[in-house]
Amino acid sequence: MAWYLARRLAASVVVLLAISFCVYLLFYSGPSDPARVLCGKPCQPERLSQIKQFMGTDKSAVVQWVDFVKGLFVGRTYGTGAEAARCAAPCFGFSFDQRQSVTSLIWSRLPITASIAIGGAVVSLIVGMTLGPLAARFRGGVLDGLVRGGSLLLVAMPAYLLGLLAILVFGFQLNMVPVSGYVPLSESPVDWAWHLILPWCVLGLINGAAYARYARNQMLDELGSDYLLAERATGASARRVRRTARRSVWVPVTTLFGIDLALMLGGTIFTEKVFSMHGIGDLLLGGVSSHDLGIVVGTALFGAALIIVGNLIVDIVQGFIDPRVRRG
Amino acid sequence: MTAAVARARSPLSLALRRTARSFGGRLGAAILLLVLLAGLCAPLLAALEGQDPHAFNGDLVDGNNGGNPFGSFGGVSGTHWFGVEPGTGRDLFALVVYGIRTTVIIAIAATVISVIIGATIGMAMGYLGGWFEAVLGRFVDFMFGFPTLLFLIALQLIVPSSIPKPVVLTVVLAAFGWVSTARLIHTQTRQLAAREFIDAARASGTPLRRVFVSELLPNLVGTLAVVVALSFPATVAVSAGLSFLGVGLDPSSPDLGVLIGQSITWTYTGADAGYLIFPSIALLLIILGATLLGDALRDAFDVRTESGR
Repeated sequence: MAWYLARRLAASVVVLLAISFCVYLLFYSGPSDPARVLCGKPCQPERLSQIKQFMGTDKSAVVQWVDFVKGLFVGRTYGTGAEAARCAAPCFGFSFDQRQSVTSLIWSRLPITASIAIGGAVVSLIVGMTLGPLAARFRGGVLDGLVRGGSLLLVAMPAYLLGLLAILVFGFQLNMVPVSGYVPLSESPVDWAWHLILPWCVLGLINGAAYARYARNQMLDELGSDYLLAERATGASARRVRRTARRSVWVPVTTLFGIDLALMLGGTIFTEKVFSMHGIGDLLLGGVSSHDLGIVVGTALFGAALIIVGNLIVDIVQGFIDPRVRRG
Repeated sequence: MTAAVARARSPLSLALRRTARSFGGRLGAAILLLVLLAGLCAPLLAALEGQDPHAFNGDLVDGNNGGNPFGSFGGVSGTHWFGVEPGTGRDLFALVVYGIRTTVIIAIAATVISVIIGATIGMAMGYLGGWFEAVLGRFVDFMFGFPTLLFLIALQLIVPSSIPKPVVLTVVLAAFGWVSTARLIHTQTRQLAAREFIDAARASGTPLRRVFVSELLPNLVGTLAVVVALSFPATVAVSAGLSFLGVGLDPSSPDLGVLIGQSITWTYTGADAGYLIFPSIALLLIILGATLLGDALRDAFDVRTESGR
């Protein structure tokens, strides 16, 4: 097990380094010059080179990448003297526009994105793992038809569309729930949940529909398998057989869930945009519109890092559950 | 066609017949055909209605009421079939049919490019094997769980503004879209590569290109049809999504994603919801139709896709 863990961990670090290297090559040797954006117009050549030196973009993309990796582990300082800006480890870059490290920007937005993502993920798991096995149990019935039709529609539905429609119906027509804005959990837990209920349901329904579809088909596969036939032959009740089947459906669904959660923590971009919440996705979009390369690269790499960590955790959990994975 | 040939049907035509017989396949094809036709005939349809998607009609919206259109349900009338856009008074029907056209053309181009890239890489991986397969396999696995959307957005920053936006959108969509195709084609090719006729081709010294084009490709047609039908709706959703976020096409282009993105502004004014409903239905129909057709094709060709999601 220790060997397996070490191998997975090493692979994750290598992948993360490889991505950041490619990103730096692509973004910092491209035509977009962050120093020029900050310098404004008119821009004196001396001032430009000063800014470049301060930002560290006077060096080649490869050297900048080395600086970035160093910053991740030990932090880094931009510029020297009174103007110097300190970026503590793990430094995901610096927004010279907002004079803040990208890490602290992400940190300030993370509660919002995490609230949306975790809540949405929980709702989707409940929806999927309730409706999927139920549909499988009453295969061919009304409920099954509803689940299959509904999940087809919801899987096809883009999240932003469902979000906008939900705002229109529940926010404006029925006036039931607030349609935008975020209230911190520490301020008022009730208002926090009340403002998030619509985003949670939107995300939960869309992802839950995919889980339900998957769980239903997986459940039917399991129920038709030999080992469950054997269990039935021992005289086990139908209910008990279903319970056994359900247990083996949970494993692949948990895998999907882990990856989805990591993806969503990287930025629930559409949901944040539709419900005007300023999470990590909004940070990235803001960075693009203000041409802030530091924010854009930092956020994208943070998202990639989350996915890799999420994959690592899923792998480790699976390694514990299933010994075959460890050897593979 | 002679009677003898008609009796010995190829697996391809059998599968196509199965698709045509299934309810989902028929419904999906019908929906898709209808919407695609509307997009294809956009200038014709707009001319039929007598409207132009770029014409501003300030007289049709109420400047004193946040720019809401006059008339019920967003100003639906005999001259403006879907009503007009709040604020600008542009004709919504013309915008929607032109929007379908833009969205569909970009998605088709991106899908075709990505499927060609993905199929080539997947076939090469499955047939060549060895370190090539190992390295690319790792890469594909990794790309599969990649926060693609974040990078699609980030890339907008470094693409020179001199390149037209539709071209940029098509290229980035294709650049990230080939992965799932490569993965599926790879598994299928690996199974094929173990069969005798491929061994025979290899042993007789058939050039690589011939093996790919005349031996592998004909056996992958079914899988490719499924891949195209299923990656097209995904591409439509992402492309419209990027335009919705304001990082795809310019706000002035008639595109379903742009239209829906702009509707956020109007949602909060409490105007009648036509500006949101009509483009949304069009977008949903494209995605739903293609998904239904893709699912039917997948069942008919009996292709197992990733986790059936």
